[in-house]
Amino acid sequence: MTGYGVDRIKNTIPHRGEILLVDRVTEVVPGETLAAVKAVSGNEPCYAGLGPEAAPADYAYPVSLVIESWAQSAVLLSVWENPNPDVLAGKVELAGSINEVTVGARAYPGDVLEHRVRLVKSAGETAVLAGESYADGREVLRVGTFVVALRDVGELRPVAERTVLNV
Amino acid sequence: MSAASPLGDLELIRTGALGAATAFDARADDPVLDGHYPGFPVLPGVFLIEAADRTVRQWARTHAPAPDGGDVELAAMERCRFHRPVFPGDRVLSDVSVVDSAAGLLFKAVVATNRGKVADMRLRYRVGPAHDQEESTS
Amino acid sequence: MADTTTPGLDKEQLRDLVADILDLDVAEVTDDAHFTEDLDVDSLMALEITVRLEKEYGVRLAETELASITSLQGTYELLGHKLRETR
Repeated sequence: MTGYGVDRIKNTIPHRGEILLVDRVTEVVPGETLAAVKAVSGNEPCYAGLGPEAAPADYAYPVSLVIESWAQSAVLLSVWENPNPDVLAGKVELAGSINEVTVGARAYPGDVLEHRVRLVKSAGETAVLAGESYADGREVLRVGTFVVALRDVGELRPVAERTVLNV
Repeated sequence: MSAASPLGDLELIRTGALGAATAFDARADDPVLDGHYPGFPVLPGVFLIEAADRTVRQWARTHAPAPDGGDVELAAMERCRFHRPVFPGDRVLSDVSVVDSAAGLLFKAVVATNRGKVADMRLRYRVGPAHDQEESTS
Repeated sequence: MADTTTPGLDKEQLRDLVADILDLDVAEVTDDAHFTEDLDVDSLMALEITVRLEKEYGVRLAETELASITSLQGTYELLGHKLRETR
């Protein structure tokens, strides 16, 4: 196996279980670019509700999950040399915004999503990244800007049992 | 729900000519939260995008122009800003409204919980599925 | 002090751009409204503004220069300075 597998991925970002959506980092230039892949499979939870009457198009991999998979690749690049695999021991990567996203072709079970990420700019613990995802050579997603920051979990915990007036 | 989705059912709160609103509960027993993240469960931000998108597509089934009967499909997310996290037990309200725009099907989505606004987005749709669709074998 | 004008930099266009990024009405982005204190800009949004400015005006902003991006007036003056120095 070339590249970095799930062992290195799990030692870098905190995502686990069915929401870990990156299988392998195929190339990385720390601080600059990263390429990763995620295999789309028919046994994923998003497909569990589809019955025998489902149409082939119903099996299109949800765009939200393509974005999540790409975003995890982006986070991998931003913390590659400063791993953050345990939010309780470290920080949580908070997404601030995702802009200029275009959706192209759809991916289906059996496709391998190929993500490309580049670091646009970073300042302190905040980073801006951009990139694309492909399936079978077709562009599935393009991300213009993805802004993330590392934050202490303690700052983010919900204030217990306090009702906030609607804004 | 006919298409694949990481979210379960959404409750339709209201729908009309100008838009629609749905709600769902971020359930503490959702297996996704075990891994996002261990020790600090927060709903993945993309699930808010999913909820807004499904609300639009739900609305479009009864309100959108469909020349050949096709559904609408997300073409672009021009912007999406996350304001605060969503925690287990929060009830998530997704409110989408049509933006008057010459560019076609453009929506503003505001997602909120009782803690306040959690996300707002601008979503653009195209009518009918893209050509790239698996052929039916029947 | 006279307002130094710089080709390619129009304050009202800059105001429109900042208002667009922050999803605010142009009227709220006054010359002196403090991004963090008055307009609720956090560090994520501040970096987003920086990246957009770099793209729109073709400049590179160093981390030390980000401290000037705290109001429209401050941003306008920083950009004016950057654009004049690279011409």
